[in-house]
Amino acid sequence: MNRLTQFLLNFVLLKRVGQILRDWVQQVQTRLTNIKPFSWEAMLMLSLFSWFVYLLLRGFYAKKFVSVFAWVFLIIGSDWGLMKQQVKTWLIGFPFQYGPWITAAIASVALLSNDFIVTSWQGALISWPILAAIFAAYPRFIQPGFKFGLPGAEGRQDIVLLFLISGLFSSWFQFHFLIQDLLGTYPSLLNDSFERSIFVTRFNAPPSDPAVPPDSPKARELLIATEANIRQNLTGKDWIATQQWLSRIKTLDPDLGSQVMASVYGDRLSREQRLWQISADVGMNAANNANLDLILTVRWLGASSRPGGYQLRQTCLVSQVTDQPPPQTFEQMQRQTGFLLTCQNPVAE
Amino acid sequence: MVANLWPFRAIILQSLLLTVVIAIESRVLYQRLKLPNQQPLTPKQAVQYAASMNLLATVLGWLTVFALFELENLLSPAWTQAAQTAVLNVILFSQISDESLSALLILALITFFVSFAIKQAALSGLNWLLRAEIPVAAPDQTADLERKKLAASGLRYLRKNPRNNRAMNVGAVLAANAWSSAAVLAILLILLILPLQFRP
Repeated sequence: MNRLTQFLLNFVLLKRVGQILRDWVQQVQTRLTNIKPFSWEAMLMLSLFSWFVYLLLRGFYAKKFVSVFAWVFLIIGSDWGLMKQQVKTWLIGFPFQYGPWITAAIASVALLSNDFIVTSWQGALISWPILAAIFAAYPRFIQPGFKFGLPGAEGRQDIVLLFLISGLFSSWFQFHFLIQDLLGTYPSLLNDSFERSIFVTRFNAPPSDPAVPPDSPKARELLIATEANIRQNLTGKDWIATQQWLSRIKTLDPDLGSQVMASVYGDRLSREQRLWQISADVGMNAANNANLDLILTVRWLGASSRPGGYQLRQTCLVSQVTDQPPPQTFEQMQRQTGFLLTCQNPVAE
Repeated sequence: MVANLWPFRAIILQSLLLTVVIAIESRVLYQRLKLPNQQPLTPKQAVQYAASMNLLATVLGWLTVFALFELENLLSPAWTQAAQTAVLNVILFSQISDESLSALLILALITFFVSFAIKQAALSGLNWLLRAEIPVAAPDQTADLERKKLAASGLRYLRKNPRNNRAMNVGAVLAANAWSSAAVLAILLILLILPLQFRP
């Protein structure tokens, strides 16, 4: 540390720059000349050399061929260099060999970059613990003098436990990606609160009150689309025709639902689409018998923190327009309607 | 991509369950299990045997879960959506309906017998893998004084109670499985089922 600060001080003050550079080059030179031909430093140098060649080459297959060598030398070098390196874990003082984990990380990145067995970064993460177990286990099969042999019963038991534990780690990674896949299939699940779950947890979650039903933006979007769809269907209808159409709306429900789904989702997320239920109800308005109440409900049938799901409900008032000027043109007549549709804000339930 | 949901609670819960189960089963195996050469286990061996058996059962269980989800992706959503919603309700929201509660209970019963079979298979596998006749290049450095001592007492024990060794091991694994399953059931009851009673 002292030498480092002195070096930095000299460097910043631009003192003896030439001398420092000369010293540094000399140091590197002595270190390079001191590398034994058969050592982990030599392997790393070979890897570095291969990467250098990789940069110089042009052909795709030649590059691939050289990169395999570069990765293999890097893996051998790091495995060799970090062999038997331990850190004492904090608090319990359990010796932890980190070498296999680093080597396995390099190996899984190598497999990923060559598209060999591992083809996605999720796969690389899942294979990482198993590769670490392999790198931790194989030295037990090599005896002094590079003879292959089975370890003793104790060693075999250790290897069994090693592989089982790394399999458990891999399963946890896989479980994480399984949940991510499910959330990709049903993005609307994320509007809910996950506080009661004993499997998953959520960070940076907005504070949520379990008594208040979740207010899903998707449900609002669906309500808006439903309202627009009904308006479109009623365009150009006079009061009588409007009443007739609205009285049949129960039979139109499935059709209406699929049209709204197609306009909001398109053909994406077909599984989530099946879990929304859109219904429209028409009733007599309590205050004024001449008017109609149109109640639109969007209901989430999928998994939810509330038993039975939740819904978003919107009440609209349909009233007759009496003082309407007679239409002047045909186009105006087509667009003119004999009713007024006023909707309140949706309520989550 | 930063994920929204993390399975840390599942990891902590599984670590807790595994620790409890291994502790209980190693105790039972230490008392009741006999090695093929009629020796009793050392305490360390008992822990190792229990850990291997339970980790194997856990990993196979995870693989079954992943296989079921894969199968679910292949089938038509019309068939599987209700079941998937029930599973997601349990995993993500701890919402257990009466149907899924009975399904969980049946599943627990099946798991009990399947895990017993897996543990029995794991025991014979371990016995095969750790048998002394395998030609070994590097023998263990640790002197087996403890094991020799225990071997002597084991022989004495065996002379007193000559019984079928194989049958006794089945009993040991079954007892270990029963004790640990009871503990797991108790923990899951506390975590999953009891909060249902206090729901407003």
